[in-house]
Amino acid sequence: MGKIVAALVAVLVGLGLATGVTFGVTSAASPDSESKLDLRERPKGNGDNGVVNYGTP
Amino acid sequence: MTDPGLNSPTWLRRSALPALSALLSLVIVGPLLGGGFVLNYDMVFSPTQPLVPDSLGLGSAPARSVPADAVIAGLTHVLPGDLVQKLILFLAFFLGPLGAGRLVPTESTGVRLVAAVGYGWTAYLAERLFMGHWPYLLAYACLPWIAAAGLALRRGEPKAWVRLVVWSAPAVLTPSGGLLAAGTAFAATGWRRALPTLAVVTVMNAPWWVPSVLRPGVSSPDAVALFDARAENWGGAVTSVLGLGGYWNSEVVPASRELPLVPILTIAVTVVALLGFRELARRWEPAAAILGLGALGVFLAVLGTIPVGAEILRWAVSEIPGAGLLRDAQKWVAWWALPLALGFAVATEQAARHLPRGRLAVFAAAALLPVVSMPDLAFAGLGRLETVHYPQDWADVRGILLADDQPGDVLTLPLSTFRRFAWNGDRTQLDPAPRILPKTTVIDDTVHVGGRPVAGEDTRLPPIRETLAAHGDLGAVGIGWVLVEHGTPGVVDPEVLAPLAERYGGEWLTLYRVPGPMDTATAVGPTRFPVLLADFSALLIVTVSWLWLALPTGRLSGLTRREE
Repeated sequence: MGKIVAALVAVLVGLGLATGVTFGVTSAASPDSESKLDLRERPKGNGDNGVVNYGTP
Repeated sequence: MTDPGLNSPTWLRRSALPALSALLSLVIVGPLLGGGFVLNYDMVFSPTQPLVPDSLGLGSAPARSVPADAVIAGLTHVLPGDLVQKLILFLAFFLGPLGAGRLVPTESTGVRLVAAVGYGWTAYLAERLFMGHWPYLLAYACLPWIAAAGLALRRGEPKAWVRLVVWSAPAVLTPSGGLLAAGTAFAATGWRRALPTLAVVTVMNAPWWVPSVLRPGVSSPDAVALFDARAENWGGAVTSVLGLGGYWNSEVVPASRELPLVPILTIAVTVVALLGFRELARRWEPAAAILGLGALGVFLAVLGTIPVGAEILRWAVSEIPGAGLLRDAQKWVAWWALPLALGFAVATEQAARHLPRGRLAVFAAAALLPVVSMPDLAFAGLGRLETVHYPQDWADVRGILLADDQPGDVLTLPLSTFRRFAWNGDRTQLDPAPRILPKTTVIDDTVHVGGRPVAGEDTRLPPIRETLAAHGDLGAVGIGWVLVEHGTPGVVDPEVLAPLAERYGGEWLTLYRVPGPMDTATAVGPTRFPVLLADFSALLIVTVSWLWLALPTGRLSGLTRREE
């Protein structure tokens, strides 16, 4: 059992690193990289009809 | 097995967990600890929050932020409001990992550190922080400590009950936090202590449930579907929830949660944690109950996504007073975070046992896993949140209202729960007026989700809307002042303002006085006595418990006995 867990943990670490690297690469290389990386870019809600959206499902 | 930390000096092993917890908190909220306020979605703090009837659930609005508003009002009369906010944010991200690390039944410092990061760096924390749900963050941070107090009760340790009360106190600031704390308390203390636990959590949560019971009204069932858990990636809603995410508002979901590897990572972490839980159950008495509670949290979180479950929720929300709490059901997945972090940490320990060398590397990699797979929680969401200062207009208007004895409440226009000001980077934020102005302030509590309105529950709003539409006398509905907020979406009918007397005009705010007689009996809230009795009872039990824990009562009695 322990060896199985050890193997799974090793796979997990690999997956985690791959996720992090993917995030970095896609954020940097995507054509809309500016909006990917600049998380301050927020949806503006509607606003035009006089309300501010609480959120977008 | 040999713990990689065992060869280290004792002070290093003892300080590793608090130091890592502090580091985690600083990496997440460090950029927010400078001057100014973080104003984002539901998070609004002000220099000095007023204590008004709504703060205690005595107003016409539902007691959603009760007794949080009263407690923050008290704290901001002693400390500056921005300092209070920073303390809360730092502690919310510091206490959680510290408590989780201490809770693991192990001698290994490395395992404690893995549990700490696993609990302190999650999608739940990211999404609730970006949504401004600071009471949830605080409640989440207290859950490991509540579990530890429950475990102490099972072991018959002294002062365990008062520890349970003291660590539940920050969580019960809101209804949802109070229920999260109560669930953990029941699971940790065990069924043999269910009745006394029920008594304690009932009294501690009385400040919100008493006014909620006394206030008639149910919530809109439309919101059930809107506030359901959501899929963050191809893995679907269930996988998102298993990974402690799945919050309904896509605007606050970290971009890294949408990556295609995330569902696979989530399933793998869950499997590893469950394998680790087998070992944890052998070492730790409340393990099964804590795992069961976690499973319940996942079930409740995804209930609304199942056809029959959605119907049940819609019926409950529209028929049972107070069942509106079941909306935004993803919050219950907080219960899943503790078994996930502890199980994963113990699995890491088991894995390290089978390695002839490199154990330190295993612990380091396992601890870094949550961070590298969701890096966009760091530095306040990579700059998503920032501190800002209120324009001077707010202090000026507050000063006028303090100095003028004109009766009546304040109505803010345009009618909208949320604002977007240029001085706050156009962030969506709750109207700050009720938490700044020294009088009861009425805002429109209809919220718009994806452009769809969700009906509010404040019973004062319908007659006020009718009066505004008819250009009638606002004094007749108890409004003595009108505050127009500029630079935020929404329109204000000039004919509404025409009969009013302008008392202040600034770049961001204009304050009007409503002339003529005032009907100050229009605000209808719960009966005062039972609500105040509930507040007093909760305050008493928390104060006595805190004093019992802080003062050397046990030690003094022990000394007395020895002298005899």
